[in-house]
Amino acid sequence: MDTDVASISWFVVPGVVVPAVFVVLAFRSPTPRQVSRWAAACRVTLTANNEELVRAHLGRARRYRSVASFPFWWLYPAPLLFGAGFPEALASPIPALFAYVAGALVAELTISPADSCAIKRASLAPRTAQDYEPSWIRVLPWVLLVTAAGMLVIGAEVVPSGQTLTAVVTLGSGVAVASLSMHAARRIVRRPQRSGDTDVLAADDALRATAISMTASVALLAGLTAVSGVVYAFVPSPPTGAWAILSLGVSLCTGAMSVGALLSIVRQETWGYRRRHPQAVLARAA
Amino acid sequence: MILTVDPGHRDPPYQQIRLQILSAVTAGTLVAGGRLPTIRQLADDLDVAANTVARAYRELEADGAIESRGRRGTFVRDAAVTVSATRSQQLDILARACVAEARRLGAPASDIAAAVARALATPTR
Repeated sequence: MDTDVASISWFVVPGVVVPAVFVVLAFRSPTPRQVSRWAAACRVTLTANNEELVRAHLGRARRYRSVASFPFWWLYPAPLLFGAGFPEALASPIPALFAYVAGALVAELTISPADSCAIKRASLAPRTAQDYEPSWIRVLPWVLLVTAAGMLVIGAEVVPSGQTLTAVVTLGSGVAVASLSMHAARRIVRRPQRSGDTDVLAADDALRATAISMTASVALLAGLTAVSGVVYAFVPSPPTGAWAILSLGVSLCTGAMSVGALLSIVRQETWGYRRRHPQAVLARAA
Repeated sequence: MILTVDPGHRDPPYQQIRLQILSAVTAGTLVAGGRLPTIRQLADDLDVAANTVARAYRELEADGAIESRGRRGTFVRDAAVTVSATRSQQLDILARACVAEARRLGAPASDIAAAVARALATPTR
């Protein structure tokens, strides 16, 4: 092995092997510890009636998002193999993260409703998106997008024309993704809930809240990207003085919030929801 | 509250839905002003046609048990059944709901009649 190949392998092997390991792990059912952690976070008591539903649903979402992002993680080290001619945009973690989120959305939107039994049962409690996410997380992405649009309009005169177009495209994409997320959330709410068992209904509500929180996190990421895109369009290169402080501040804030949003998607957490079907065990405990 | 629809039942599905909601309203399980699911949601959840739920809601509205407030949704009426239904109508509705539930348990007519007679004989406070 010559020196060049050896040095490249230090980058290529982790780029190929690590994603492969993750995909193999993602195909395994969630471990009992992972399921228990999710149930504790969502305040759901796992019983013989609902545990399989939870395990299957969480496992399906993990598989879809891992498979969707898998090819893009492998593109990350591609420039080392194919040279500088390889498209730069593909050789970054962004397409893989985008595919990861898209895979998670597809998993939730393509799930088939449970077959109804001979005797059909359903809860008479109405369902709305407000039941499954707090109002602040629903509003925040739009506040960010409106802020970004306001900054763009006010600062249009000081922004170089080429960068204005980039900022407009980023903002437009953010609005499109946030709208798509809202639409996805409405579809998840409308998904049939066919059961008369309180344990199953409680688990189904928590799974719905997890999915809707994921769409909210996607909208939040879109809003954060739009804000940072518009701010960076203003900042001269290299940034100096007040611009340097502004760009650093925006980077830190949007970066931290983006990591938080991504972690909530990865960990399948909720931003909080209203329990429509309290379980007997929890009711007794309370 | 959990609704049940049995396709093999003597009553058509819309009537089963109507009677169960009516019985819950009269029993106070569904409180006045409480919101009901949309026709589409309930039809999807019960896996029945939207027209079935729409008909049940229409008849419940005619019974005076619920009211539609346009885009805001369908709500249990204030002072529900008593608003428009007469006492004999209410009794008919309650009796039908009671008989339907008893038949679901598999009780023959004679047992149901005997149970009603026993209930009537029980002194009320």
